[in-house]
Amino acid sequence: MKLYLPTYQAISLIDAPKIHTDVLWDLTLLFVGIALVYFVAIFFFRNKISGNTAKKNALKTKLSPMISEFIFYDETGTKEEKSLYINLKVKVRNMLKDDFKRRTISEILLELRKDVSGAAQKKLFELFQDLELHQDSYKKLESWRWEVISSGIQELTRMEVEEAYSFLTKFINDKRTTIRKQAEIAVVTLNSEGIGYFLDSTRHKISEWQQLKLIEVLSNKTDFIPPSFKAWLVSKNKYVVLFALRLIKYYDQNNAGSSIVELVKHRDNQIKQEAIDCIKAFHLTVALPTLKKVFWSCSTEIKITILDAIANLGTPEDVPFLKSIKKKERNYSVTSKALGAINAIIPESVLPTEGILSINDVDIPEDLPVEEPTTQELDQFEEASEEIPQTKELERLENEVGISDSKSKDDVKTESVHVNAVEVEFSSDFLPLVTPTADTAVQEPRETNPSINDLDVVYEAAYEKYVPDAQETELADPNSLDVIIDLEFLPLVVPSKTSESKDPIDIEVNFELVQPISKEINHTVELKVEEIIVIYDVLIPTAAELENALKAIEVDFEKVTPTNVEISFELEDELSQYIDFEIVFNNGEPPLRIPKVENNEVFDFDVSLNNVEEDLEIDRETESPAFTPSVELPSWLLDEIANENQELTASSELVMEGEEWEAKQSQMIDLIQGYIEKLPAVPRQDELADTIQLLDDIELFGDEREIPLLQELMEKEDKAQTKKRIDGLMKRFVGTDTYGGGLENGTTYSVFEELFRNCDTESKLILLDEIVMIGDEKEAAFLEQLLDDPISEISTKAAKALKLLNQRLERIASGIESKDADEYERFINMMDLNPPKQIKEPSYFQIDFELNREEENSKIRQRTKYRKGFGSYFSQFMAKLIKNTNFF
Amino acid sequence: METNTQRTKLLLAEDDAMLASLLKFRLEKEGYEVVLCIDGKEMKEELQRALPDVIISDIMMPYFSGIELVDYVRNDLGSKVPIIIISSAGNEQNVLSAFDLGANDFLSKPVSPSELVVRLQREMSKA
Repeated sequence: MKLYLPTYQAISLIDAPKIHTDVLWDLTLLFVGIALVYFVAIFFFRNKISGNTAKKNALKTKLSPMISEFIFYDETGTKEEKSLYINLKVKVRNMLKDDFKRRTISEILLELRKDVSGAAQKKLFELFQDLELHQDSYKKLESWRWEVISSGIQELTRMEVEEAYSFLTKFINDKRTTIRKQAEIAVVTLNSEGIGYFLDSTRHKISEWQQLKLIEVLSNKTDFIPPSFKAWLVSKNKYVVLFALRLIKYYDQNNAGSSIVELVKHRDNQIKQEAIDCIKAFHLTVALPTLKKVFWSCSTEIKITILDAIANLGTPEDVPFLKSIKKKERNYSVTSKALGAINAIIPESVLPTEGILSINDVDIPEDLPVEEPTTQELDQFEEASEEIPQTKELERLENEVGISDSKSKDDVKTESVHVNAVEVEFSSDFLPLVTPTADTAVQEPRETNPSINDLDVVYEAAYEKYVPDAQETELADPNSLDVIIDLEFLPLVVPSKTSESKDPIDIEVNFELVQPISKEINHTVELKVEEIIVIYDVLIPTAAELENALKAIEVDFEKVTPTNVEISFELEDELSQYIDFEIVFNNGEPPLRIPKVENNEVFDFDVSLNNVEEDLEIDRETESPAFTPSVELPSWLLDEIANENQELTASSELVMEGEEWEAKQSQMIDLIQGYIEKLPAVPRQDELADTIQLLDDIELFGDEREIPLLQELMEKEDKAQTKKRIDGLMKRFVGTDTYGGGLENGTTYSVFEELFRNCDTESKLILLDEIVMIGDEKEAAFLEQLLDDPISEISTKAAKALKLLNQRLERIASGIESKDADEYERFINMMDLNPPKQIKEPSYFQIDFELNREEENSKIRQRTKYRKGFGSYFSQFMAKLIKNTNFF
Repeated sequence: METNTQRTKLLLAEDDAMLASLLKFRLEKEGYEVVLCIDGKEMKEELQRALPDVIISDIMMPYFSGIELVDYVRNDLGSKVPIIIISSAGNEQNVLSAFDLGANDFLSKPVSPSELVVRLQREMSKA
C-alpha cells in the first residue's frame, strides 16, 4: 500500500488530521461517482415509473369505453351490438395474455368498483370473474409477502368472489395482523355465515376498530339474518364475548338476559361495562340485585356505570342501597352519581345542602307580616314526603297495569296487594244467555251475576293493551276496576220487552259502513256446461205444435261455406205422401226426413245442399218407379223415425201400428232408399269440408311456404269458388300481384321465386343450379325474369341456366331424357361450375380394405412413426426384442 | 327514451377519468349529447362557451369545486339550468351548501348509473 505523507504543515492550534490531499481527491471522486450513480438510478427509475404510469393511463383511456361496453351491454340489444360485444370480448381476452394489460384491466375494475353501485356494480363483479382476473388474486394468496397476500384478499373481497370464502377462512388465525384483519372482513363479507365461523374460530384479539368495521360490513349486507349471538357469550376468547355483546345490543337480541346478567360478574371491565350497557338497553330489572352485589368490587368507572343503570332501572327499594353508597363510598364521583340516582328514582328527594345559608337569623322588618306554616300544613307536607315512595311504586304499578283513570286508583291500591298486573281473558261462549227482568237489568246489573272478586282469576302481565276511550269510561261501573278486564265472560243480558223498552227508532245503532270491494263484485263463477242442472217440464206437443216447432228449427252449421246455389226439387208424390220435413246435415249423414202423420197435404220444401254447384231438379218422369234398394238405411234414422212415430202417435190420435203401418213404413223406407240412389253424385261433404277446413287453416296460420300446396290444390280443384279462394290466398302469401298477373298471362308460379326473395347472392347462385336440374316451364319463366337482375353474377348465371333448362326441357319433350333423370354432374359441368369439394375424410377413414394384413400394418406403422412417443417406441423395442430372441 | 333525450346537451364534470368515461358512455347510450370536463377550469370555459341543458358535476374537483360551479351558474350566469351534484358519502355539509346555492339534486358515490339516468329524466321533465 502506498503511503501518503502530509504535504502541509500543521500550524494552527487545532491539530487537524494529517491526510494526504490525494486521498481527499480520491474520496471526492468516489462520492461524486456514488452521487452520479444515485442520480442516474433515480432518473432511470423515475422515468420508468412515470413511463409506466403514462402507458397505464393511456391503456386505461383506451380500455374504459370497452369496459363500459361490457358493463352496459344489453342482451336484448341489436345484432350489431351483440357483434360488437363479442368482438370486444375477443379483443379483451387477447389483451389479458399480456401481464401488464391484465394488471391494468384488473386495476380499472377495482377502481370502478368503488365508484359505481347497483346493477353496474354487479356487472363489474361478473366481468371480473368472467375475465378470470380473480385467479390472479388467488395467486397472490400464495405469496410469502404479507402485503401481496393482503392485497389478494382485498381484491377478492371487493369484487365479492364468493367462492374464495373457503380459501380465506384459513387466514383468520394468521399470525400477521394485517392479513388476519383482511381475512376477517373478507370472511364476514363473502358469506352470511362467515360471522359465525369467525366468532367460532378466532383466537386473537378483535380490536375496537375491527369490531366497528365488522358491524359496518354486516349492516351493509342485504338479506343478512343475524344469528343468535348469545351462543358466543360463553366463548373462551374474551374479545369474542365482548363482540357478541355488542352485536346483541346492535341487533336488539334480548333473549340472553341471564347470560348478560352473569357477565356483569366478569373480571374484565370491558365485558362488565358492555353487559351493563346491555342491561340498560334491554331494561333487565332482574339484574338489579346482581348489580348491587357486584358494585363493591368494581372499579370507579364501572361503579358509575352501575349507578347509571340503577338510576334507569331502580325502584324506591333501591334507595337505601344508594344511600349506603353515599355513606360508605369515598370517591366523590361515585357518591355524586349515587345521589343523582336517588333523585332519578325519587325526584327532589335529595335537596341541595352545600352552601345553603340559614335563614333563621335573618332580621325581618316588623311591619312585614311573616306567614308561618301552620302545624296542619307541615303535617300534610310530611305525609306527602313519606308517601313519595309509595306513590312512586304506585305509578310504576299503574304503568305496568295500564291504569289511566285517576278515579280508580284507590281501588287499585287495595287490589295491588294481590294483583301486580292485570289482564283477564275469558271466553263467554260457554255461559248461558241470561234474560233478567227489566228492573234488575237496569237497577242492579251486578247483582244478577257472581261478583268478579269471587272468581279465580289467572293474571298475566299485559302492557300497552288497554286504551279506554271516553265512552267506555263513562259506561264502566265506577266501583269496578278500571283495568284491562275483558268482560266478555259476563252473560249477555237482553232486557225483556216491557213498557220501559225504547222505541226502536230511538235506539242508536253503531255500524260500520261496509263498502263492497270491486273484486267481490266482479267475482264471476265459472260454470261448466255439463255441470248445469236444467230443470224442465216434459211437454208432449200436439202434432200441429210439433210441426210448427220443427219448422222453426234453425240449424247452424259451422265451417260450411255458404253458397248461392241451392237445390230445389220436388219429391215425388209417393214420397211426399210420407215425408213431412227434412233436415239436411253437413256432416255427411243423409238428410233426416220426418214422416208425415197426416197425409192431408204435400209440403213443398227446399233441400239445401251445401257446395253443390248446380241446381238439381228431379224429374219424376225419368225416375224408375221400380228400384231395388241396395243401401240400408242408417239405424239412427230408423230409430229416429220410430221415436217420432211413437211420440206423434201419443200426441195425435193416429194409430200407427199394425200391418198397415208396417206396410207403409217399409214402403216409405224403400222410397227413401230409392230416392237416395237416384240422387246425382254430389261431392262428398267430408271432402268439401276437409278442403275448406284446410283452406281455413292455411289462411289462419299459413305463409309463403304453403304456396306449393295451394298450387297443388288449385290443380286438383275444379270449383270456381274454391279456386278463387286458393288464388286469393296465394296472392296474399306471395305479397304481390305478380302471381295473379302470371296466372292471367298463362304462366305459373315457381317455388324458387319465393326462395329467391329470402336468400343471399351465393344461395341464389346455388339455387340456379338446382333450377337447371329440376326446373320446368315455370322455372324457365322465372329465369327470364332474372335476366334483368341488377346483380351481374345472377343475371349471367340465369342466362346460362335458362339456356340449359330449355335444352333439357326440349330433350324431355322429345323423350330423350327422363324428367326425373339425375344428371347433376353433367349439368354442373355444362355450367362450368366446380362441383363442391369432396369433404376430406380423416385419415382413419381412408382404409384400403384390399390390402393384405402385412401391407396394412406397414402403412399404419409408417403413418404412426412420427406420432408416437417414448412409450410407443419402448413397446416396439420390447416387441422386437421378444421376436428376435424367440423368448416364447 | 332515446328520441326524447336525443338533443339534450349535458355537461358532465368529473375528475375521475374512469367514472367519467363510464357515465359518459351510459348517458350517451340514453341519447344525451355529453360534453366531458375533467376539472373545474375546463368546465368554466365550457360554460362560458355555451350553456348546456343540464349539468352533472362532482363536488370535489381541481381548480373549481362543484359548489363554486353552482354559485357561478346561478349567480354569475343567472341560469336556471338543472344541476345534479355528485358527492362522496359523508360529505353532507358540502351537499347542503350546494342545495343552498341552487343545486337541484344530488347523488352520493358510489353512483348507480341507472339511478343517475332516472334523476336526470326527472329533472329534465321538471324543466
